[in-house]
Amino acid sequence: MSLTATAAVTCDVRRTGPPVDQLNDEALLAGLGAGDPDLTAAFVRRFASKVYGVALAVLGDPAAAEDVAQMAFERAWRHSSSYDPRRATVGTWLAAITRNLAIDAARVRRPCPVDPETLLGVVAPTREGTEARAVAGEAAADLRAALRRLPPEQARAVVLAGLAGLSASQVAAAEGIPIGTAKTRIRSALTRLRRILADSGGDGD
Amino acid sequence: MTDPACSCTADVLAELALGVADAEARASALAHLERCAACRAELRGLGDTADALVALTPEVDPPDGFEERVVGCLLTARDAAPLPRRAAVHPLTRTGRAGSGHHGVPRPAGAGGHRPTRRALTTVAAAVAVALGAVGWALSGAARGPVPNAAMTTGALVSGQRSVGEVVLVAGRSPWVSVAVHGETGVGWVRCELVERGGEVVTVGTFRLDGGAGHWAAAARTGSAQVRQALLVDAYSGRVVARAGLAATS
Ligand SMILES: [Zn+2]
Repeated sequence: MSLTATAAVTCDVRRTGPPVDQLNDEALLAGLGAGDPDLTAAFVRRFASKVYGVALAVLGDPAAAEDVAQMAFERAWRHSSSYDPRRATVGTWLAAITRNLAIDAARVRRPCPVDPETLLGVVAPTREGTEARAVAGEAAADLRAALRRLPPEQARAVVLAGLAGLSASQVAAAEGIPIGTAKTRIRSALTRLRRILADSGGDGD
Repeated sequence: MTDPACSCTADVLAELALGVADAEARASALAHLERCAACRAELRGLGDTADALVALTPEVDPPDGFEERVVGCLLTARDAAPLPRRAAVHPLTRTGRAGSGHHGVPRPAGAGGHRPTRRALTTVAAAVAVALGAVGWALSGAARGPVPNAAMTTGALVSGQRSVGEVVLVAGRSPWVSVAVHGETGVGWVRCELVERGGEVVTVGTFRLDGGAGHWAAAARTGSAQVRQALLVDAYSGRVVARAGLAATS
């Protein structure tokens, strides 16, 4: 087996420069798990906006979102060894951790309902400017395209449940529909998203 | 899905996957999921889709100082508690996640009996970093004498012509190595070995790759200056499955 040794990159962390920022997400996560200060800082830097954005989407309150975002990083550190690169990117894994914490926090206190219109922008065709803040990546683009292929009321229901963390009864209240309808929409939407993604070959992730 | 309980459960799987099912629905569904592999598989698939959906949430810049505060807290927490992952030189990739089957919900690891010796790698640097609001790590070397993490070397892990992962070796008082594997290497258990300049081979540990993938970090005996390359060796056959060049360039 011919194995190519590739050029290694060395960096001295006493220089403030980036090399750690060029490491891939998995390497930064491993560094976080091992408690390395530089990689921890790079990890937090890389994912702060994502984690905070997810927490804010569910909680709608900056102070609460900040607390939850911080907890999410701590949980990622404690559970870094449970990350499974075959199932999701590091960003997706971290977003899911954040969201679960945010939903738990929201159960205790949901001071003001999230403005769903901001989140529903995810379903709308991307405009100039939103693109920059929207999540990059092919998988994300596939998923956004899949969302747009759903009946609009289903897409709204699954975004409200998925991104804002609203329960079926909260979706029902927000949309002015019976709870049974909300449940059906959420279920149909998620099932269809899964199928569309599987058909488009973007299995997993 | 012929069991009537399956269709009841199917009604709430999406909400469960999205983490928004109410308590009763959740409890009864979980009871069924315990004994029904088909529904568990379904939940897992929906859970992955739900996670991907959540990741579409628009990014928002956190308030000023957020990153520094988080890093400071993480390093404080690290120093306050032993790190199971650091000291264990055994399988560090947890497989067969227990629990709901939902990817993003790691169960608290409290039950594990793995807490050996504490190995604070960089207590001084961390303390300084916290004192300076965590931006201080870059300065701590100059300020406080020897910096444990003096240098880091990375190398792409290559199998044949394919890049299958990455190795990071951090030198210092307590050197450690991190390995991330994401390509198919076709083996389950691998031994990670560091080849030193003099030709001596030091085994870091034996790790499980789940479906060819996994990542872990473990203590290493020596830092980057003494290490030429890292090898992943099939634990059963002894065959080298991938390697990473780690020659320091300076
Ligand atoms: Zn079932």
